[in-house]
Amino acid sequence: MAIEVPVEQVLMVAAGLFLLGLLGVLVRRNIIFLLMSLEVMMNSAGLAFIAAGAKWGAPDGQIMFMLILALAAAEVAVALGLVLQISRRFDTLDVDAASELNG
Amino acid sequence: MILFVVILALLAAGVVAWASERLSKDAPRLVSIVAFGAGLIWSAALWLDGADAGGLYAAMDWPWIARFGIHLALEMDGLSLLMVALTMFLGIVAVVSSWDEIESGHGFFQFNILWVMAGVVGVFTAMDLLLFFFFWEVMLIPMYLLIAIWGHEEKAYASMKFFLFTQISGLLMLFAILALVYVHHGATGEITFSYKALLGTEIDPRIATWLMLGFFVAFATKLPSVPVHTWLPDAHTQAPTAGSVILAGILLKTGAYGIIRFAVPLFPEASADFALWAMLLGTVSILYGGAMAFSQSDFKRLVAYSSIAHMGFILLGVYAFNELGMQGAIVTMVAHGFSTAALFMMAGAIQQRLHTREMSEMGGLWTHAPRMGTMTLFFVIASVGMPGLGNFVGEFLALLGAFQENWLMAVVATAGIVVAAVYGLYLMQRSFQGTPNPDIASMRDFGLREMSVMAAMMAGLVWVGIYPQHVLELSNATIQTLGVLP
Amino acid sequence: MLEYLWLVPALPLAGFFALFVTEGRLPDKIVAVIGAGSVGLAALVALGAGMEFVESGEASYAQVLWTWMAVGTFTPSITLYLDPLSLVMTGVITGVGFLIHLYATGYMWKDHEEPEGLSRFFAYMNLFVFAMLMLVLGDNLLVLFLGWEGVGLCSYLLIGFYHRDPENGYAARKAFVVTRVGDTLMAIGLFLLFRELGSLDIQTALGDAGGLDAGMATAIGLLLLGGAVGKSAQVPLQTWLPDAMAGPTPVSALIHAATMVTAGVYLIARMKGIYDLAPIAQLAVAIVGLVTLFISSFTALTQTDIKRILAYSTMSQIGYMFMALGVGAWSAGIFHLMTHAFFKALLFLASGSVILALHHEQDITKMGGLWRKLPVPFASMLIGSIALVAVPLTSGFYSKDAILLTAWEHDTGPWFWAGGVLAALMTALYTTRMMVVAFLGETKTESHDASRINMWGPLVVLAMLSIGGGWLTFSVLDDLLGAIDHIPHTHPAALVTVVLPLLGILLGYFVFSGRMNVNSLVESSLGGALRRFWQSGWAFDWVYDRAFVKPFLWVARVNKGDVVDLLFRITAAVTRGLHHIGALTQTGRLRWYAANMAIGLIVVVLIVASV
Repeated sequence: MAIEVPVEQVLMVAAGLFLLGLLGVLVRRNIIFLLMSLEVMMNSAGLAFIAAGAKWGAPDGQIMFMLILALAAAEVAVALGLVLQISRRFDTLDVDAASELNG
Repeated sequence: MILFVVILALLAAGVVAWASERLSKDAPRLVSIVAFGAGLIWSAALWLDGADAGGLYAAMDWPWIARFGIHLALEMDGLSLLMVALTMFLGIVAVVSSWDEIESGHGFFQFNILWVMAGVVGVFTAMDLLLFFFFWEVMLIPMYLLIAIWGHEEKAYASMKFFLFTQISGLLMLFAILALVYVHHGATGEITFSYKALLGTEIDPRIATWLMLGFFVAFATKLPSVPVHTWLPDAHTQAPTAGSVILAGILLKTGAYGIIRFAVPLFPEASADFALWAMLLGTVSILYGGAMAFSQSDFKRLVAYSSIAHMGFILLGVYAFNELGMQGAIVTMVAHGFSTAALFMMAGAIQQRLHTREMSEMGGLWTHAPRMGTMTLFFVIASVGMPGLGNFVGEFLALLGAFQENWLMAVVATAGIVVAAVYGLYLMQRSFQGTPNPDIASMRDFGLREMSVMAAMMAGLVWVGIYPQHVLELSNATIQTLGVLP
Repeated sequence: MLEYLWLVPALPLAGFFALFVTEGRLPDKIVAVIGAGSVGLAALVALGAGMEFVESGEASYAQVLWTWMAVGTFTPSITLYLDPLSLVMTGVITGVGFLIHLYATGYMWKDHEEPEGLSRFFAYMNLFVFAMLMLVLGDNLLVLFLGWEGVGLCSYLLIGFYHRDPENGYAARKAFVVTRVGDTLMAIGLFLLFRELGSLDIQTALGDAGGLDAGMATAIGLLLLGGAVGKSAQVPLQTWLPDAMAGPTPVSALIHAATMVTAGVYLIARMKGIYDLAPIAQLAVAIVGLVTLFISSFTALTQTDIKRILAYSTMSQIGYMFMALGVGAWSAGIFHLMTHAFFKALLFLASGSVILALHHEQDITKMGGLWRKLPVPFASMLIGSIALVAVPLTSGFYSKDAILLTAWEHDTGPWFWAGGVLAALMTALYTTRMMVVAFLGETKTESHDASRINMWGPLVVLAMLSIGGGWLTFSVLDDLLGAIDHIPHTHPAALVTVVLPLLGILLGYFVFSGRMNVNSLVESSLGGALRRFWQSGWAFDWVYDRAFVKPFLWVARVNKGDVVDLLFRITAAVTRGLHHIGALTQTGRLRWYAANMAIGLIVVVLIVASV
């Protein structure tokens, strides 16, 4: 017997997760935490998709979640490579230290 | 057909010249000389052969992008022939004038020269507006490269300035072309870029004025006329000698040609209304260019500004809207091609020998190089407007024509010949006359190679000066068919 | 011979061409032969053609060479036109020209400054003779203009012949530019003439000139006068001539005394048909002549450089010619042009011999007592001087007399006559001063006369012409130019013109040889100020320098960078400024970007939501 969770509540949770992630991105300087916050934001988006899919009874939401999973995996693969490079070149994981690409 | 082949041949010669650099550093130059020499002989042959009944020496018309009515339409009438022959001749001059100057990239240098000239030949013969625009751009980019790669100290600035001025004004022309085609489509339901089809398009006078201005700005920038002249002193000064020769001798003439062939015939009424302003621009160019030339201390820059003054006579003559003025403008185009090309060649020769263009570091050069002195004197005198040499015929006719139309403007412009004397003789004084500069121990005089080119240009000027009939007859055929004269 | 008329200008042109293409590689002897020979041959051809022309009794002879340019109805042709006026001019140019060329083969031989320049010198000289001949023989105003500009060019080249000295270059440029101001006016005159009459052929245009209204004729007359004033060094464009003396002396004799500077007189005489219709323009010619006459004779009195004295004297004599044309003494004006060519060429060449003998000393106050050492130059100078002063029976007397007597009868009253007579007195004074100071008194310098036959030969011939030129040519000119009205010499006016110069000579002799003390007058403050004023040429140079030269130079200096370019530089600068402002937002801080994105998104959402 499935418990009916109102879609509003799920969306609230997703929004909360998203806000947490965003705050993390804005506040944390350590690049690893930054990436983790990004993952949180993506998962919040995925949660919203699933909620919406459940609401309309359509498979699209779950498909989109799988897409997001794949995207996240790809992103992490690239991002970790970059993190390695940054930590090697700047000897730190502080993202502000790598602000050389400026006007 | 033959015209297309000639353009392709020049383009191909460019590729061959580039490739032939592997053989020796002389090979690219020889390829260029042969190409231009053949072109000159070809145009002479066309001239001797005479025009057909329609006044054409060669013509072709192939569909290119048929859906938009764009054709590979090339035609050569008297004016085109004159200009193409001048192009070929000055091509040789350009190659010879940079003979010792270029130290690297011989092949690519000649490639650029040949491609510029191919574009120029296209500009002078195109009978389709889009094709014309295409060639207009084709000649721009190699020229940009010539300045940007082989230029002097400020080549980056100068080449970018040249590029931006030409490109932005060219964009206006493209807008005008598209708008004209659109208007023509609205009137007839036919999409065509053909020059002849667009000639008689009925256009709302207010729109016509704007379209005419689009063309005019592009051509006046190229000419150049005050106030859009400021790219020229920089570009000329920084360009390698061959670049200056081509710029002054030929590229400026494409602006004049465009006005005569396109801006005026396509919009006769709008042009007639604009005539007063154009003549005013011409007059201001004559006086302002002359005064600016006098201000300069750089030999090349002085000559560059003098070009602006000379081009003022072209505006004055064309917009006088009579035969005298138009012929004067055309003769000025030819004569200025010779005289200024020679002076730029001289500037290049001096710079190569003394490593300076500053006249304060020259002085008394006649003592070291009397031949160069004599040549400079001759061409300075020509550009001062001495009767018996080509420039006088052009300028006198232009002024005479302008006087019929607007005496006040002509009177003010005539004062320009005093200014010309002031800066011309000042140039002569500061470089070749006066006390020999003790820092200059010696200077190599002109040899056979330089003198033969100089002699050819002198002969050209004297020819146009005392018997301009050949030029006048060639251009007369065109002037009559343009149908803009009353 | 008449059909060979084209050879007259062609020969000097060929001489120029031969010297030009050989680039000075010919030996000096051959150069001299080509240089002087070509003009000599031209003189012979001109003589033959002239004799045949006079015998033929025709009013004119035209030889069409080719159509210069044909544009619509504008078809000027290169045509040589011989009539009495151009015949006289051709005679003077080739005849006197040949004598001066001959003299120059001596004067310029192994020249002190330009020993290598003989070929260049004769090339320029031959080109000059060619251009001058085109000027007088051209049947079309455009051909005349060709010659007109051509002589100006040669004048420039020859004044600046010693090109290593910047001063000479300055003098040459000044001559060219100042005369070009006149040329510009003349060119405008040609435009106007063509617009009104539809042709620049002199005979056609003058034939149709009757249709001109008076205002237009006056305008054309004044514009052409502008050209004449520049070329003939008349007020207000006279300032170049004294400086033009920087050229070698034969150049001064040929160009700046005998021929080129009289081109203005020729032009006005040639366009007589226009001036007949424009009395105001003609009066202006007379006034210009009178004013120049006055200004230059006073200036000549104060100069110390022998060539500058002669230059100012030339200006004043051309002033006489202008006055003659202005008061209607057309033939007398041309007659004076011819006699002046004889005696002024003589004076210049003789002074050249003096200068050469003194190793290029030109200051008369440093000369003195030269008559014993340099008998031939002295005798020549003396003969030239008495002809210049118009002592009776010399050539100058006849021509000047004819001018003054016509002036006496001018409609406006005897004012021109009075001015002319006063100037004649001044002429006597300054000429006597020159002769007394340079040739009499104590010897002050070393000198040796090295002249050979090619130098003193021309002096002798010119001296004979200066004395006898009046009788010789009077009868010929009467036929050619129409009889000059002769007023009997017993008329009181005639008497004054005869006596006054003689008085001037006497007065001058006493004053300048120190027999009469005028120091108190000269050294008074007014006297000194006047002398300085006159010596500066009535401050014309000073005024022009401040009115035209300085402002032009100022503009040139200030605007070297081209003020118009500012427009584009500012556009470029603004674009660059915007770029910098935009670039400021690009900090490279990842979190800053993320915050911006978030804020931007919220703003967008809010906007969308509120709509």
